[in-house]
Amino acid sequence: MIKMGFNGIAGNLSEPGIIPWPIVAIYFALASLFLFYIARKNGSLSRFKTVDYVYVGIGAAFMIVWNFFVGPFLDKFVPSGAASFIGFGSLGQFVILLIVIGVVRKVGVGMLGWAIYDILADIYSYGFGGEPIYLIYKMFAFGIIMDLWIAATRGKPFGIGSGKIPKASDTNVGAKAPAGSSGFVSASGASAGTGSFLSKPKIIPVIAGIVMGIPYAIAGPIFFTGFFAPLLYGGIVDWQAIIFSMYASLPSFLIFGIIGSLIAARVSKVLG
Amino acid sequence: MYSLLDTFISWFVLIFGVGAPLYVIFKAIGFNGFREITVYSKYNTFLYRVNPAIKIVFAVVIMMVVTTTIWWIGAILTVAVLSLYITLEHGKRKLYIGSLFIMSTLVGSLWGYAPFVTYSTLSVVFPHFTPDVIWTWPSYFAIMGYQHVLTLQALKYSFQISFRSTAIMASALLLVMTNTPSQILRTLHRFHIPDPILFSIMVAMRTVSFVLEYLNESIKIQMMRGLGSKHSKYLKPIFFFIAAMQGLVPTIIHIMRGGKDTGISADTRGFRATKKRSYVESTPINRLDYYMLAIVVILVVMDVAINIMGFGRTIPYN
Repeated sequence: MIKMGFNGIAGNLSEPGIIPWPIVAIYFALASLFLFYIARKNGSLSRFKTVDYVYVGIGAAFMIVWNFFVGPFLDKFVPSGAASFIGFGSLGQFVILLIVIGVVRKVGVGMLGWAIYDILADIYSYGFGGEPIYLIYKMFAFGIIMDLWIAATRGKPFGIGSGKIPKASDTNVGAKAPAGSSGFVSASGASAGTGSFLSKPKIIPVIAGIVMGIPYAIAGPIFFTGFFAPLLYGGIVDWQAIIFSMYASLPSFLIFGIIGSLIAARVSKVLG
Repeated sequence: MYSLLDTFISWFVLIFGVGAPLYVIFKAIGFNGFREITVYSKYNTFLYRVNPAIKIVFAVVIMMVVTTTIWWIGAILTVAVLSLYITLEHGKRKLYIGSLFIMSTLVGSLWGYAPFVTYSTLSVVFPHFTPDVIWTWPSYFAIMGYQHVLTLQALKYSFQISFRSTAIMASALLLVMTNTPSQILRTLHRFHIPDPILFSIMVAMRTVSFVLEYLNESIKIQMMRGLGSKHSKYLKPIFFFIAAMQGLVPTIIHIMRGGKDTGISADTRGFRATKKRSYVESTPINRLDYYMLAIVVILVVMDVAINIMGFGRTIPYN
């Protein structure tokens, strides 16, 4: 019999194979402290403006539309055997959030974006069951990855933007872009720039896509299947399945991370 | 030997499972239909007057009941909640779209699970079971990850998993259709969520309908300009999809540009300027809310009774 705890959380911490909860707690705490430390040290910590909250809200709305109305049905196009390799639902959310962090470029936007999305998803579909566990999961397993990258790049996740400490060599990167010349961006980002494919403005988004894509592919299976699923509803922990889905989702996250970062770089140029 | 008819049936079932939800989504509902079931419209029946907090509690309790009971309880609740749609403004239309949406979700997730449930999962779900084989797939279906046979138990298991989400989805949409974003946020304020986050959620809730509207427009304009017009009309869904993908990033840019104005106008009204400048008023609780609360309590009692009667959920989810 499955026991029911508070708000639909089974509270099962002794499932065979589950990651011990102190490890998860310590990782989340250390990652947050580390984020705060780097952000503080290189001065990329800055206050959110009202328009930033608007951008995050808009991004969350797109994530909702994607996750509930587009993604699940795109997944039907994927041959079922390949479903663990490509999950359009989560990939689309990843790309949309990349665009949001490209526009806002402040430490905390990744976590805020996931938080807003999570509350919104509860309003639209999940009905606040299992909260606040899902909120914690999304903010600390996924959101923090993006924030660490923003902090590491001093508020220029895709090489564009005015970070707190402008360096002479960086300032001309964003300035060169034809700001909002047409307003139309091709999805592949192939029309950006006139130089070689990996010219300087493009190499940073590509690196950003790789650096954020890898932990995204790893964090989902490890934290959800390995810890939160048994905690929430007594899911079965199967480490073979976790490791398989980690490897399986890695290529798609890398590809979509790079594409998403290139789009994000373009969008943030257009929006200034 | 596997006969031609069997092959035909296998492929028919496969294509139905994949195609039916897609057809319903793109053809019958469309982005406009989604907009209708996710946006508030003014009307004055029972559900519109109930406090959103109670509706959130209702959704949570539905979730609780569905996850702790056998699958057909979830099915009954799904139908019950959906039938409430008839009391809304343009009730018949909303019931129609809502049912289509739930049906397609159901068929989609049923066929997303049933052919793939492994024997080992099923033996955890139903200890000491003897598989009742319904259908044997052609051996090459294994390439797609299909199990060799489709069992009754696999269907039961998938049904239970599918109905877990549909009842909750239907009741959550009820909340969105009968309350304005500001009413919902005034309720969330009770949970001490900071004002900027509430503001952000409100922007998001307003934007969802814009996203659906603009995407729909973008797709139609691209079709009008001749996208896919030289090809067979049976390929139309593919071009619909291409148009949606091509329209996505421009739609994001368009809406985000408008977002700048939203930010500026909130700032000029002094949002967050001083500590007491922005405030949120809570929604009052009235007599109708107690009726709704009574329904919620009945659901909880029912849940306990069902579990005592032995129709509780005993299966783990994967």
